[in-house]
Amino acid sequence: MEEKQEKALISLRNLQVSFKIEGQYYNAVDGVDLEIMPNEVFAIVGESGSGKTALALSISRLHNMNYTRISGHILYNDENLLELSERRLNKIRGADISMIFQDPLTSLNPLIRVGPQIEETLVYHTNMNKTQKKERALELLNQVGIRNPDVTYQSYPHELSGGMRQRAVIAVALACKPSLVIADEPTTALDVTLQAQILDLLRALQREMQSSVILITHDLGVVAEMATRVAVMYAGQIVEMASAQQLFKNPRHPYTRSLLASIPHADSENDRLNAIKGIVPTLKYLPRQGCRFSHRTPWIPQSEHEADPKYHEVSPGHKVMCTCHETFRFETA
Amino acid sequence: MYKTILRRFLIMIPQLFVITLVMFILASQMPGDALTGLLDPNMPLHVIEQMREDMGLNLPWYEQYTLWIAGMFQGDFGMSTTHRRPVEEVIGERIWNTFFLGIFSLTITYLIAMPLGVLAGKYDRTALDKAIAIYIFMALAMPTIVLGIVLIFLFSPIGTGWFPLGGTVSAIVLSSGTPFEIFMSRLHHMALPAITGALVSTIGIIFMLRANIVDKKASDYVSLARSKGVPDRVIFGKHILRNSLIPVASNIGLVIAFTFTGTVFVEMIFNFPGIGRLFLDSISLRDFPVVNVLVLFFAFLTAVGVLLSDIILTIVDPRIRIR
Repeated sequence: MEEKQEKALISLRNLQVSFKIEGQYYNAVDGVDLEIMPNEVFAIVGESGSGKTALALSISRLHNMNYTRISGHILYNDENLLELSERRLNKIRGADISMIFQDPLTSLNPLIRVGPQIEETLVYHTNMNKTQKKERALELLNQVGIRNPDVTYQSYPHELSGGMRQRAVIAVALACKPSLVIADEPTTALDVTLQAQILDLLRALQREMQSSVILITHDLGVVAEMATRVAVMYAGQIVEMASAQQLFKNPRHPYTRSLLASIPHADSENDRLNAIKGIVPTLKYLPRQGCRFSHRTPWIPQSEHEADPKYHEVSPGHKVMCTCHETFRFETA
Repeated sequence: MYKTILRRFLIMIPQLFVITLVMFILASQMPGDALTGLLDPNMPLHVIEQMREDMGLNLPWYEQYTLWIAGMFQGDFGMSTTHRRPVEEVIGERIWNTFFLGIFSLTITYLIAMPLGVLAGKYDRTALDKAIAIYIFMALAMPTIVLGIVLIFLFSPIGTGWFPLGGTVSAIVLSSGTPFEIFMSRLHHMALPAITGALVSTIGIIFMLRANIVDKKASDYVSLARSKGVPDRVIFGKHILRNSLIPVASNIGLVIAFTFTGTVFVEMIFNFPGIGRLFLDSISLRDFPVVNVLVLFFAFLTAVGVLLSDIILTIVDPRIRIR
């Protein structure tokens, strides 16, 4: 019955990311354990401030390290990325792990033409000569669905539309065929039709290149469309992790269920939006003990929470934090 | 591009017209004229009155203005009332002194401001950045006049004697030195005034450069470049610095205009024979033909400085194109 376990592409062990506020460090990511398998789309969802971007940026250590502390392990190819020197890490950044950022309007350097910006990745990871690099850049532009690669290659970022720019950013990310692409809300800044196009493109490219994608989003629709597995983050912790199918079919954690309940439906009889009460606390005032979501479900008595919440496996590959998921019910009006 | 530059020069003409007009009206409101205080107190009043009449000083200001403008269009800049020579001669023999002082001052400005701005931005919120901030606030709090006097006390023959005071070149060197020695002597004479003029201009440039670098360091395209595996050293030069230099580059024209008009005070403090001192002297002696031409010159310089800034901006920033 024991199946041969596939080796994880990258695994995070007890990852802690903390930021300096007024001289003190506060954890934005608080003990995350994750394994990303080869060739999968792993989604991380949560509200703004839940720590998902802090988590994503820490994988290739893109934080400003003057104000950030990262501890734990990020294992990639049997190496702990957190212990690598900046020089060694630069060999991995762009070549093995690359990023797609949220806002295509600001993620390209306004003074440099699009072509050379794509080639910049190739400069540091390949021995291509000038013509080879240009060929590769044009090929990439073509791959990400840009119709006139020659024109776009010569264009400055401000001459392109938002969608075109995000395609160019994707081309940058894919230049060296990385095994892991971290996409931090890649469609948030785009309008709805473009969102669908960009997601289709990402999924097609992921299948073609057999690479893994960590998709950071707060849009559950995007998750349903793209992801194979999902982690739900709240206040710096993963509160529930499951395959996308299981998560939507059988959401367990109160936070997951509240998120799903808050999606508006066009055919809903109830006109009121099921918003989650309260807000994510700011980093400085994050609850550090007990079930961190409990303060937004005040009708659930404390006795139903664990004092020191642990993960409970509800089905194979489906983990939920804290016992409160067993008895959780929505507040009755 | 060339059309735009031509158009901007054409727009300058009415601007300068308005400036001369305002200047003339203000001057006509000032008490006294070119003859006040210059003449022998024993001279009979009717002789003075006759001289006023001859010089056209009794005409209403608008008639004087019309005559002046008409003269300007014919290339006649007028006669200096104190020097009794054509205005262009009086200005011409001093303008190069001011020109070299200005260039020297600008060089010092950028030699100080660029490294300090880059360091403060690159190492923001460190002790180095704070030390530079102290420099900025000291320079900001120190008026040009006070700074000039402090420098004179410290470094002129009154103090250590490292630098000469007054004049533009040593007479001995001028009569017997090689061209290089003459040049060095000029720099030596200009050093204190140039530093005095430069210090104020550095503040704005340092502030601007630091703020831009700090801002660009946190920009998305810098994060993207880091995620590509580009070394930090390259990122700083290629992505952060280049973008941060745009506003500084486009500010050069204004700094040039500011430096040249700023020499007015510097030349006064250091008794430097340039057009700045000539300007203040001419005002106090009511030598309006000289004052008028100098105001026009300063106004023209400022307008050209602004135009220069715009031209530089279109060259360095692909997002901005003038047609």
